[in-house]
Amino acid sequence: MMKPLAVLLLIASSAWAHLIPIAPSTCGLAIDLAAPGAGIAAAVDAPSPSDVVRVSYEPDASPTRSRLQICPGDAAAPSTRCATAVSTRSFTLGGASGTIALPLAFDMRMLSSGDLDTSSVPITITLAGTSAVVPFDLRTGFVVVGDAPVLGSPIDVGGAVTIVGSGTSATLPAPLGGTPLRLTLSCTLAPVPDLDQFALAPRLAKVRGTLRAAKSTLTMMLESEFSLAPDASAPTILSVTGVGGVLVEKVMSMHAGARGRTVSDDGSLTIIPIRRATERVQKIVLRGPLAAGATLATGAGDVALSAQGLTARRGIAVKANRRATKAGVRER
Amino acid sequence: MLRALAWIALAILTVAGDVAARQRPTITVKVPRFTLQPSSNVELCYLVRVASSTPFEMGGWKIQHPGANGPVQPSHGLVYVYTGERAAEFTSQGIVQSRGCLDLGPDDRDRRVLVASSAARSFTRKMPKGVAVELAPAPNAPGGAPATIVVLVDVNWANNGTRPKTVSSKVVLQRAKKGVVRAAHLIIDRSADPGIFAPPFTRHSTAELVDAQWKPAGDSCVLGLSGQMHRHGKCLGVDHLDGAGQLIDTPNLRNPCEPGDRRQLFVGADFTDPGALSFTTPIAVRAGEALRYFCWVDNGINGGTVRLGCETTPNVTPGSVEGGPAALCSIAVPSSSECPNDAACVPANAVAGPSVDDEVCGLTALVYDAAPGGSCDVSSLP
Repeated sequence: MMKPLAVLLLIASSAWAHLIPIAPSTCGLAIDLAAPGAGIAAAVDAPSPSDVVRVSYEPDASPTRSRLQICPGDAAAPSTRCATAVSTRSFTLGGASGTIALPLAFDMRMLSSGDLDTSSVPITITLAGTSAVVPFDLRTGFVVVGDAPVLGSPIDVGGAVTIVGSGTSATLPAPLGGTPLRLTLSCTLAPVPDLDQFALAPRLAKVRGTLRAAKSTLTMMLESEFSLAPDASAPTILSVTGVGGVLVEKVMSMHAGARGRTVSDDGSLTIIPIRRATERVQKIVLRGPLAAGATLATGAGDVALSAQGLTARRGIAVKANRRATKAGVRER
Repeated sequence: MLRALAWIALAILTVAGDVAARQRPTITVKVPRFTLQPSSNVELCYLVRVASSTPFEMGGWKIQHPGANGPVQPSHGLVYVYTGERAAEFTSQGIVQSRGCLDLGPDDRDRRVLVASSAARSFTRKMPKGVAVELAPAPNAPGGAPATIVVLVDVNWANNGTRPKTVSSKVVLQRAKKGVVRAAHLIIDRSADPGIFAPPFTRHSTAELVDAQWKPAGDSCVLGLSGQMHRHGKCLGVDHLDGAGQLIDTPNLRNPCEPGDRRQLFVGADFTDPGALSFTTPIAVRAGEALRYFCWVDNGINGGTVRLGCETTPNVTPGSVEGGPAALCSIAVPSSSECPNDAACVPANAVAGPSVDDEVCGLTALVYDAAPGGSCDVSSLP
């Protein structure tokens, strides 16, 4: 009698796995390469059926270790291993032909929102026989190409993800040389990774405001973990969209203000730190005009913010008055 | 009234991180409150340093997770005691979020032993009668005198609800009161480390290279048998061998990495939560017997990334058992600025190493001498 009881006690006190392994995904990567400032875009070949990337995951509660790894999938077993050689994709630009190749493997930080980011990924671009390794900052959040913000999209419930990148190289021949380049990588991951186990992403809360053509006021709370290090030198990028298109879109350099605040150089946006014991909270206050040509209309929209390198999004409801001269904004 | 005030003062001292030395009745660790976001799964690590030159004889413990309710539950609550030699390098920095709590502490951070665990809302355990677990202070620096008991609390919370929830945890290690006739010592065996060798996109067992065994010097009793792995470790299995090296039939847990899911005395299948056999029902391991253990290490096949490392010899996969792990890099390119001399960054072998990006395979336990005759019941000993 004693032995079975002892065995039961042993079993009862054992713990079992709860860090659920995330199976690698694969996808055919669509690539777009453009130089928006020069008004040109390359026509990049679509991926062939055998040209897939393998994405493996390393979930962690620490934002510095929470990541995924992208590599070209092995032709015979793409979900099991990476290929041993880089995958090169052809494109045409005007009358010239070229190729573009990602590294053999690279890591990106991954957060529980499905947001990805990394810096200086060396991407080899060859145009008209001349090759250059161009470092690209890749993100599903904002990148700035020239002066214009470009926003990607995080891994969604269906596995779709869009990574945007900005880079430039003086080595490349015209028309790509010396001009800001925009790279877009998009695909639908299968199987879709479970996001819960990755490091917590920043969040937007209490989005409130009134939009007017001449002067709008918008406030929101940006909440993030203390372990997610802010980058004080990063510009603040804000985008507000509604059913009528872009309502606010700004890229702002920041400087230190009074009482620990950070203020945009044009004075339209202020970041106010709020003292909290368990998380970092920053109140964002925007006072300024709408984007040129913005149209106020009632409906759903989105706000996306990158402040001190911390990026968050939130759905909003926009309620316009009958004359479409004023609209209230609240988070959804 | 005075007694209540004394308890409050003691609790405040403990929460402060560094605790003054004294003959305290308990070591209490209060993990600060933390707000769990909806659909989140976080692992919180919190340590306290208790200044002490003498061991704390633990007779029992209590773990509480008062925030556990409905969709908000801890999936593990682990209490480790550090047994290394660099206690001063643990800094009190509040909660650190890290899977397996690998991202805090000195290079010998893996010299820690699981001494208590519970994911229940409130759970109390007493050591077997006559037994106390000796929590020895570690030196602040190598070669130094025993100075600090370092206690690390590791709680993994999941919020499957739709609203944020604030949670906390509390651990009370209780001093043994009287009648202690056996002290259980914290042991770590890492003889499987040289067996860790997994080339890129392969899975291998340490048993292919080494036969790692822990053997007691005399008749012994084992409590809280557990294991240690890092990120690429998938399964750790322990068998109980008799004096002739034959398996003692103690079928208990299935090992999903073994052919046919072979049953073993103990199996850990999660590097963040190694699990443990009972802290209160000892296993008798007699002189001549052994606990044989091994780990399965997966280098990028399933459920994890492949280790990237810097080449030292062109076209030779870096990282070896003899030479140690490859220098770390994050982008595989033929000439990497992350590598010495701009060497190539390539998929590397997974091997043992001190870094959290490298692997360990270890066995830990709380061990005390058996009574004459080999019994683990020491309650009747004088």
